[in-house]
Parts: sequence; C-alpha cells; structure tokens
Amino acid sequence: MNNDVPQEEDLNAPPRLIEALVQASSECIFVPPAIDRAILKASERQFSHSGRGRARRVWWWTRLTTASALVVAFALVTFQWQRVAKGRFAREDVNHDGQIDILDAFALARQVKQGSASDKRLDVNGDGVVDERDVATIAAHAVKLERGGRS
Amino acid sequence: MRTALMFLICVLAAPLFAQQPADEEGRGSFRVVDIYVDSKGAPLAAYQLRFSMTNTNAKIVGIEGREHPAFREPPMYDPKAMQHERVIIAAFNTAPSDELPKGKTRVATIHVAAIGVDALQCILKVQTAANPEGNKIAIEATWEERKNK
Repeated sequence: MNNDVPQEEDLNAPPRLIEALVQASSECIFVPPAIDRAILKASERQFSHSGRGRARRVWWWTRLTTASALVVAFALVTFQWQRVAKGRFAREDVNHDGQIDILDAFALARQVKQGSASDKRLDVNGDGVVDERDVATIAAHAVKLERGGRS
Repeated sequence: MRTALMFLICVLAAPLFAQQPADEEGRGSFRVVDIYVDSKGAPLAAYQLRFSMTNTNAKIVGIEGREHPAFREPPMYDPKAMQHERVIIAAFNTAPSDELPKGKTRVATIHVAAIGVDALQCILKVQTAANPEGNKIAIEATWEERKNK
C-alpha cells in the first residue's frame, strides 16, 4: 500500500494467522476418487434428467399438435358437411332459395311453358312427367296451412 | 181421426220449417274483404300472402280472384282454410310483362262470415312476390273491408 494515509501498527494480522494462511495455500488438497465419481455420477444424472425433460416436452408437443390437427380436421369436416346439407334442397324448392313457396311453382311453370323442364327431379308428383300437375302440387304445398305454407 | 193425425203431424213439423229467430246481439253477417297488392311499378307475376283475422267469431267462407285479367282466377289456397280464420293465398301468371299489373291492383276477395263482429280485424302479410323473370320484388299488400257487398 503506497499512499499518503499513515498505516497503523496494530492493523497487521497476528503471526499465527499469517503462518496458517501461508501453509494452507501451499498445501495440496487431495480429493478422493470416490468423490470424483460421485460428482461425475451426479452430473450425468443431472444431464440425463434434462434430456428426459426435453423428450417429454417433445412428446407433449406432439400430442398437442396431433390433438389440434384433429380438432381442425373435425371442424373442417363439420363445416363441409353443413355446406353439403345446405346444398341439398327439397325437390319442391325449384329455385333453391331454401323455401317452398309460390315462386317455386312459378319457376317450374315457366320451365314447363318454355319446354325446358327436363330434370326428372322436378317430377314431384311421381307420375313420370314434369308438367302442370307438378306445378299444381308445388303450389298446393306452398299454401298448405299445417306447415304455415313455407318450408 | 185422419184430420186429427194430419193436424198433429203439422204441429210437430212446424218448428223444422220455422225460421230461426234473429238474435240481435249474435246475428251473423257476411263481409267482403278486398286484397290489394301494390308492386310499385314492377310487373307482378307472382305473389303469396298470409291473411288472418283476429276476430274470434269470423270465418272465411269464400275466396275469389279479382280485377286484373292476370289474376282474375281465384288464387290458390288450402281448402282447409274454409271455416277458419286464416289462409295463405298465392297466384302466379307466366304472361309477359306487358300483360301483368304494375301498380296497385286488387288481386283477391275474401268472403267472411262474422257473428257479432262490428269491424273485422285482419292481418295481411306478404310472404313473397316476383317479377316475370322469377326475381323477388318488394310489394305492399293491403286489405279493405267493402262497405256494400
């Protein structure tokens, strides 16, 4: 210490302590091989634990991804099925607006008049011919009171 | 004896031929309700209306077509509506635009039998209507009780 502050005499460590410290720093500490092995085993165990944890995380992520994929697939299938179900119209719903009313009879009447009513699905009364009788059948269906006249 | 028997038969049969006494309070009357449709300038090719009465003692007894040649024939309706208070009437015509009504026109007449009813209370709702191409159009439907049949 080379500064201007005057050092006091009684700040020196006791000689016995100084001697012990000098002896301790020069002494070679012997670590038994058993402790080395124990430390090595512990570290191996530690590393193997972290590896297992990663594997577990990967496993959980796989499961989560699979479950998510299944949910998405189910939603898509349901949505598609609903679209298909919506697209399936009643035979009397000639104009495909989801309702059976006089406009369906009118649409079929126009087709019959123009001679373009060739679709056999329009044979609503099942007599093998698409004609005015099918128009009348749809009209009767449209004004029927039990079902409120509408689909 | 024979005369007495004839007299007895006449006396017993008399109530059958007698006219029912008119009950002033519950007397029945026939009313006529005209149904109008206003297509607001568009050619009216098809319509469907729902007519109902809220009067408890009023029943539909007849329906006929009206006015415009395109809808002169009675509209289509469920025969079960007769003697009931509601009906769905519908009609269409595949004639070209120039043969179809374009403004307000009387499309149907509904005959009603009412007992003890001062004024008919009717609800008329448009269910659908279309132009000659089959496209839906907005129409206005109104009803009017005819003063004199």
